[in-house]
Amino acid sequence: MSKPLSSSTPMIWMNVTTSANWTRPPVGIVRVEQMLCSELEKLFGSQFKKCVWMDGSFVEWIPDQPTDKNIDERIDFILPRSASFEIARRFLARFLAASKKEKNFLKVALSPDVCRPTQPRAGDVLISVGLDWDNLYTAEFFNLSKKHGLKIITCCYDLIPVLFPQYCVGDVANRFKMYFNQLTWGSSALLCISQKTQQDYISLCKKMGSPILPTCIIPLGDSIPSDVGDVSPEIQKLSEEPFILFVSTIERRKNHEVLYRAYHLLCMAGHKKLLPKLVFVGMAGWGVSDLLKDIELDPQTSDLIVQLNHLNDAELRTLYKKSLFCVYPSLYEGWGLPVGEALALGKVVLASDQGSLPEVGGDLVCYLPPWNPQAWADAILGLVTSPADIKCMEQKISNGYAPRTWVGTAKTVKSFITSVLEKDGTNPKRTFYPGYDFSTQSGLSVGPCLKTVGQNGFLMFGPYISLAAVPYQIRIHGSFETENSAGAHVDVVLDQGNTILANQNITHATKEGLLAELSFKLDKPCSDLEIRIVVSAETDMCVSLVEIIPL
Amino acid sequence: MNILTLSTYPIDVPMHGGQHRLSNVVSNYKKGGHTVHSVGVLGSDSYPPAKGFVSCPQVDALSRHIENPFLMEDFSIGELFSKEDAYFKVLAQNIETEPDVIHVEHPWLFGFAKRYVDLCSKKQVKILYGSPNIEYKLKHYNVSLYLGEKSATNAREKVLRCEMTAIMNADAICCVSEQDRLWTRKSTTKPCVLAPNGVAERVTTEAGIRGANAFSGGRKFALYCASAHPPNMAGFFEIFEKGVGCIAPNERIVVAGGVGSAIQGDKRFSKTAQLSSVFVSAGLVSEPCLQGFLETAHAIILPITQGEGTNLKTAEALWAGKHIIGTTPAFRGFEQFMSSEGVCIADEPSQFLAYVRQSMSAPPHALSLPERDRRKTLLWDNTLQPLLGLVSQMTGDKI
Repeated sequence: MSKPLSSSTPMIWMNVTTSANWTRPPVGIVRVEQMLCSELEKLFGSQFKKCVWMDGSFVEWIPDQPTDKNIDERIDFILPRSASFEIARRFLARFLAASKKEKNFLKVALSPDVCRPTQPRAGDVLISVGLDWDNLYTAEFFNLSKKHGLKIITCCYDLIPVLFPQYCVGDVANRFKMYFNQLTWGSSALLCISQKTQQDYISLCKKMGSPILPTCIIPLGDSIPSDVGDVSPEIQKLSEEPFILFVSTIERRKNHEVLYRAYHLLCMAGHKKLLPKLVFVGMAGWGVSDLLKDIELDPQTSDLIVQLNHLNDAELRTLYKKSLFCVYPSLYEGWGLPVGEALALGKVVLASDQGSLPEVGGDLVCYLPPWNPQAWADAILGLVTSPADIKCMEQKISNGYAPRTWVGTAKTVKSFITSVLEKDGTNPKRTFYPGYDFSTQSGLSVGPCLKTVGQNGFLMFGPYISLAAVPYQIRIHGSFETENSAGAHVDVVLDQGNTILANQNITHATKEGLLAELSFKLDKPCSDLEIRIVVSAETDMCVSLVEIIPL
Repeated sequence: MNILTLSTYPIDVPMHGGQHRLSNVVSNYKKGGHTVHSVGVLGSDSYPPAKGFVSCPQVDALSRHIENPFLMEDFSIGELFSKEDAYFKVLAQNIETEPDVIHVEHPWLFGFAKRYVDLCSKKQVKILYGSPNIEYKLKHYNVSLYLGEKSATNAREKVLRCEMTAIMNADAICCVSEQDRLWTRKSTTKPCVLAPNGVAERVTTEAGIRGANAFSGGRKFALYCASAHPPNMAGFFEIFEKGVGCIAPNERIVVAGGVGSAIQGDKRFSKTAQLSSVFVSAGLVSEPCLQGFLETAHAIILPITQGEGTNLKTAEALWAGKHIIGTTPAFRGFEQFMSSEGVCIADEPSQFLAYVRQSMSAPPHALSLPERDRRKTLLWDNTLQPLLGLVSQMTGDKI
């Protein structure tokens, strides 16, 4: 059983919105999110929670429990179909299920989790590695970090839409530049899946002038496909003959074209009989219809190039294992998981020398320029005609390649989280400029300051921030503009002023420009801390800085 | 002494830098005990009618002296009013008092001034050429932006001739930067003084701050004040074209002056990442509002990469005492302030952006008292002092 957490221990939250909304088998980023989540959960234990973006905030994610049909029907009948219907439905179901077990309904002791969804609080860490550019929450990261004190750690997979928009659908470069900028301003730190991605990301930040965040490279686990599932007769038959394997969605950037051209060149040069089948495993995407047509119609390469789709893990594993060798001619990658998968299964790989690909296999892979079909043709022919070379290379891979595990990935992330927390602390001092961060009823915002203009009322109120439950000191800086100015009154409140934490009169400023110093203790975390200064028409003062210092 | 100023813009309500400079030149002459009259030709239909100023000629008239007067209106006006009798007479009639000194701001109306002195003046009138720019370089740059190199070369040659005529025939010359003065000196032995651009000591009003807040929304912002003068837009995009990641989501770039709408209208605007979400164009603003901007800005940016002369907005920025991020060309004439506290200079875009980010993240800048005193040299009264001396020298001190 895990130790109970102290109130100062930050909770580690994983944003699983992408996975929660994903209905197909996990691939790519969805798989990364799920594998990392699963391993981090094991590492952090009760300090770890999952959350989803729901109705404008992150709330704890509790996967659907086995349902009670009667309860479901009752809930569907009584619950209004609001935007939060799905999540409310789950919580109500748990509440009713709990109440059903107790003899006296009124005595049911409900955990806070059952009463209301828990949310990330000030000082907590939120990890978000999903399809974040497709979600509204990315725009909120800045606010969540600045106002609510969350440490947000995000992930950069690659900068392909920015660097190579021509390989994407539409002109996405600008949109993704904005996304990365948003991510940067909203995050405390950033995970990168390769050195190349890290370089690309930092280079973009420098070009755009965005802040340079602490980054950490997290090599992804080699997701070796399991042998669970049935292998179809079609795959079995195919794998009985020698073949070369390329696992990837079929899209322009993946550069299936260079392989087709290499095969075409080899056939034209009279090597057709030597060539094994070339097997493409993956869905056909955007921008490849002409290439697929060429392949279909080219009499030189007819019957040599096979396209497969919708394979299960067992079939994929079979193909990897039975392949003569694997190829990966992509024009650019942020990582290159299929290269790692092939190496983890001991297969020889011919790969493009672009992007991050050399990081995956180091000197265990044979690299080729992706734009040169003749180089690919020569390399393919070389291997096909020298089985001994393949055996020798396979031996080298078996001895030299250490498959990457998701546990390793999670451990790297955990240690990065620790370093981020050590750097800033979980609850650092916070500084606010009244003119920017507070509102005024009776004053005038003059850049960073709020100044009186001879009116009664609130010179300053706000900033409605989240704070962890510890003692605090608030220091308010400014000046009285005239000697005979009337004073002011400051208070620190919660719940729209219903709970007063501290208050005092302001009569003068010290020589150092300190107007007020208030201390208080928060017994529980808050999300709406408000500081108010009330002035009279005779007050002539300027408030220039507010510091909130945890003690 | 009677001084006549000749210009292609009015100065009753100064809006752009040239108008501010000439307006302060006139005030300075008046403070020096001189009587000043201002006449000229409105160089554009956008200027309001002003006493002493002939309205802007029609395009067909301007086209008589240059094939395409677009961007060369001022040059064409100069040709028209010095070479065509009817136009010459109209402008000459606006000169009510015979001057002792004619201050020709820019070279455009120098030909007119020379003809006026030769034909109409009964006394020995001195002509002072006020050179706020090296015009031929600037014109070449501007024309090249819109009409290509061939037209730009043609424009450069014409303007250089006009400029050399002014330099070589003037009795005295006033330049705005040491660089300009060195270049001018090569072509004349006449007195040539340096009177850099300056700044007026103005008062910030509550209304002005409220006006500025209406645009900034009370957010922290970096201010860019500039006219629609093409280099102002070109410099902005040269620096910011790769994206505006240096501005946080809750901050803004507020642009005051004609350059704002020019930037927004450029095709690069929507392609510059993040620009549309942080860009606020305040357009042409009133003087109190401009002062409100200068008072409430967190930083002032001077992304000037082209152009000659000195940037009047640099003086304003220095006087405002905020964080300043500028280029070397923006500090032409103000080199002594390039290493001042709160000033960051970068000519390379990514370094410029890094400085913007650093400055925006830093606490508000507060000038030290010694630095505030040092910056008093920027006030117009001080920068234009050499001009008064020059006029005295030209006329033998006969006020």
